[in-house]
Amino acid sequence: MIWRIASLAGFLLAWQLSSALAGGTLLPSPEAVFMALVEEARSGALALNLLATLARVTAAFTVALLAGAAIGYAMGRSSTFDRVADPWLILLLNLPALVIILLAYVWFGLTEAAAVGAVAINKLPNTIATLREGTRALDPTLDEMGQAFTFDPWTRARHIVVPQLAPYLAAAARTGLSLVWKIVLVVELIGRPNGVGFAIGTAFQLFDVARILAYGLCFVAVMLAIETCLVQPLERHASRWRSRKG
Amino acid sequence: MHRVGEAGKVEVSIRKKAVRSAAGERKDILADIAFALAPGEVTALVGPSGSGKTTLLKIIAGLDHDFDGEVTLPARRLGFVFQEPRLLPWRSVEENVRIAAPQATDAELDAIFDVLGLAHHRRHYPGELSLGLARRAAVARAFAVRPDLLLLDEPFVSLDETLARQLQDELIALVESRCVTSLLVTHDILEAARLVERVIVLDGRPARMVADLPIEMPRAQRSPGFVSSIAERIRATRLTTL
Repeated sequence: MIWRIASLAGFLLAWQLSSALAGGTLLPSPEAVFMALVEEARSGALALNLLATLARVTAAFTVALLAGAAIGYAMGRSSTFDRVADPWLILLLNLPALVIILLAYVWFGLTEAAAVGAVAINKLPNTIATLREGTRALDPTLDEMGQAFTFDPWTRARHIVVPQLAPYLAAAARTGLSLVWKIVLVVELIGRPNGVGFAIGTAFQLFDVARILAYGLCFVAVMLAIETCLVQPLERHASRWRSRKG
Repeated sequence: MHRVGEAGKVEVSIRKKAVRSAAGERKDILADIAFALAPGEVTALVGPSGSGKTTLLKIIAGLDHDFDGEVTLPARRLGFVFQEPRLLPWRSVEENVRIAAPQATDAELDAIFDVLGLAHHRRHYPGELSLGLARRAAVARAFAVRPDLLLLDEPFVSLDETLARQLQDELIALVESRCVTSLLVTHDILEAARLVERVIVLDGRPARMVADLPIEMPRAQRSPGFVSSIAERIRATRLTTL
């Protein structure tokens, strides 16, 4: 803990020094950034933009994770489906995010659905690939056990399949969250009238570096809070049977 | 083909069972196996390792449909004790049993856990158990479903002898108190001679039934001398020796 605090203090000191060297316009001091943050918060723009972005992140993340898990599971179970869908997956994995975003806006207009859809499609192939691996690693002896004791499909899914896929779902969620929020900012920059990406875009046009940094750091803080308050406790809960061993 | 029969009788008739090896060639592993199990009868299936005993058990359980023949079961409620415990590592012992047997009452589970010495381990996860205890949990699960047919695939293998004896006694106590038709796969002839009422011997390639021996003496009255004489008789029926 003490090293973390020292490291953070060192970062602020280096920032302050660089700011003094480079000048306040190019790199505003920590204090100037903090003042910009307070101003945004007071006008209500900060809360509005953060909420808009978080809503998009949540929607795109949920869609990508659910659809990706379903498709990945199907590909892991059926080798025929895997062979059919694999070229599509490779195409999607290598299609640049920007192309997907622009095409979505061109084809479906500058709408909320196009924005969220474009982000979800960017995240989708990665989730599919991860869950496909997870499904291939499922233990066939437990499947057989479920069959011998005539488990119904719901019991099988809940007690045999999902617990085995949990680490893969967690990995997909982890990488997904950081990927999704970065792409959401781009989508907002290009075609949305609110959100953190939109605010940063406006600040860029006004050469307001303090506001760019204020939004950037604020968003990092929000994501860190989600990670420690939501993702980590969930992971601990899912792996409690492991930790008690020994 | 699987059918549901009446009067609790189990009938097995397998003309042929082939498997495809990794090299791609088809090989017969079971041929001309036919027997019926009377309700409540405890039978052992004995044979050298690799003779297809586990495959036969899987066919009877309906886990393998790729065979030529017929299996008739009393009803579809099956208790299966696999060679490895096959418990769900992310569920506690009690949850493992309850998931397989949602209809079991608390009193029933208490009784089964008591007989098997699992009363203090209900909340433990399988990873926290020794192999002996994990096997007991697997046996508890198989009994909790109130099976019409109990299939046991070498449930005592790799346990030390005292522990194996203890688990055998507990298992027999449960089987006798519930009158469950049971089929026990083992390669341990002495174990078979001590525990069961009938021994079916498989041998050869493909494996065929080479003997079907009833043991009429009640279990409790079998002396060590009697057990070893039965074991000799089983051994004499085998084409190959261990």
